[in-house]
Amino acid sequence: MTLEAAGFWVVAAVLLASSLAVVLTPNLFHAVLYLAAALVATGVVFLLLDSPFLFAVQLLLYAVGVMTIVVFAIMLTERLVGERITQTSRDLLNGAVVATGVFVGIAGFLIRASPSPPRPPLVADTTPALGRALVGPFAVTFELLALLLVVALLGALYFARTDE
Amino acid sequence: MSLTAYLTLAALVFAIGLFGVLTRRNAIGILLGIELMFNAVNINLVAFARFHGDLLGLVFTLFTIAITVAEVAWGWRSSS
Repeated sequence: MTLEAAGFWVVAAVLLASSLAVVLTPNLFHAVLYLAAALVATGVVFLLLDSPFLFAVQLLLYAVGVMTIVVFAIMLTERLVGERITQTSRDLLNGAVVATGVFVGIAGFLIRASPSPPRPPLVADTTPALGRALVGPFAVTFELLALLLVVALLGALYFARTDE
Repeated sequence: MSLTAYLTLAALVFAIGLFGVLTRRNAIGILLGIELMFNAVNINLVAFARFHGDLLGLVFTLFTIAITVAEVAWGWRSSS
């Protein structure tokens, strides 16, 4: 077993376990912490796929940024001290049936698909090419993304304002 | 590992996230499930980009990550 295969199985196990914990744990704060573990494991999957830049983005922006927002949102609304921190689930059986059905559908498609191509050798570091693509053919999309972030910031400010 | 292994892992995470979205009763739990589903899609994009030697998947992953963060910042504010 190569190093990459061993890493894949370990990361897959961690990712699946933490994902299951996110949707099954009754404690909301614990669910958020498990989500952080799942996000970091996803970043390691990116690293296994030779994308170190996306690994860094995932860690810095997604895992840390989202976790900061979420933990602050939970703690500032005092869900830590009250009973509201526990969350309940409903229709567990129906949800499991639908989720399993979706997975079986995707798996059936994967089985019937043509065999996957072999992994091509890594020609060059993808980070410089990614940077050039962002300011080259995708410059307009990149700027639209900046606009979206500003709108999200203004929307958050609008909802956070007091009535005075 | 083959492309199918990565796609199967992503499909499993997607199904788990869907389960969370369907069964959670409060908005924050549903948002956590949506995060998981976004993650599965990102894994798919990066896996296809790597196995086809195409840069577009990586660019698209960057965009989805940024859009998800904007959605989270807004969704958490309005749900809490």
